[in-house]
Amino acid sequence: MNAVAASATAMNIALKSSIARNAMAASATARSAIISNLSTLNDTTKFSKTATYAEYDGNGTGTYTAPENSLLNITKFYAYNTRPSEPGGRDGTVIITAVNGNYQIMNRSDIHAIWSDTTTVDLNDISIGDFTVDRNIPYWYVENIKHVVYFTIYTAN
Amino acid sequence: MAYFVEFDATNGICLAVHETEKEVHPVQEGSIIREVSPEIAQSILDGDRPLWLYKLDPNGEIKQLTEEEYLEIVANTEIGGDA
Repeated sequence: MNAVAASATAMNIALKSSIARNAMAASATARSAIISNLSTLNDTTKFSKTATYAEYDGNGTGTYTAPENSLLNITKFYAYNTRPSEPGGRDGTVIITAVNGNYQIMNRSDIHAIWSDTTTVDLNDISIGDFTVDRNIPYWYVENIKHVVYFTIYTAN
Repeated sequence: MAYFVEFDATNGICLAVHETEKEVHPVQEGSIIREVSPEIAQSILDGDRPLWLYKLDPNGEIKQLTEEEYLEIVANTEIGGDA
């Protein structure tokens, strides 16, 4: 699997195979190798690259549905208060989980978005398919809080 | 190589920056997609500002928003019931 991660061509082929995708997602070693070799996916003859974000309001569980034949590089989590004149919330737990492989990309219990104070967490992990965002901030004006996950989508051409 | 910026069709807020030699894969159905120069795409990607603080103006220019302007646009969009 490391050979796959080291070659843009091999990764392009692997992402189009559900068997290879599942195998890569299930293996921590393979995922680590892919993360180390993400720069090889900048070959735009083989991949389209999209920088984007997913937003979720308040508490609950949201799922981002990944495009077909894609790999997501999750790069940042951000929480902010959409109404800075009101309190917001703090000491919340947010868990980002890759559905395929069922591993946690982020698990933090110090998430706050209170008044104009925000939370930013730098991340560098991958999701080979959908991911979920579980938000649980225990009190205050949690409905004012917006949770944002930044990521880059590499779609095999 | 071509660069495209994708905007929400309702409020013009930037949704994504695409870098591709083939077709663009939009992140939102019905969105507005504009081809931009590599310099503009890189300035958006390399900047400290989050993507949602860029907006497509009615005159076709990409404008930088303050956080206050962004929150006002989102609030107005939600009031309109189109978000």
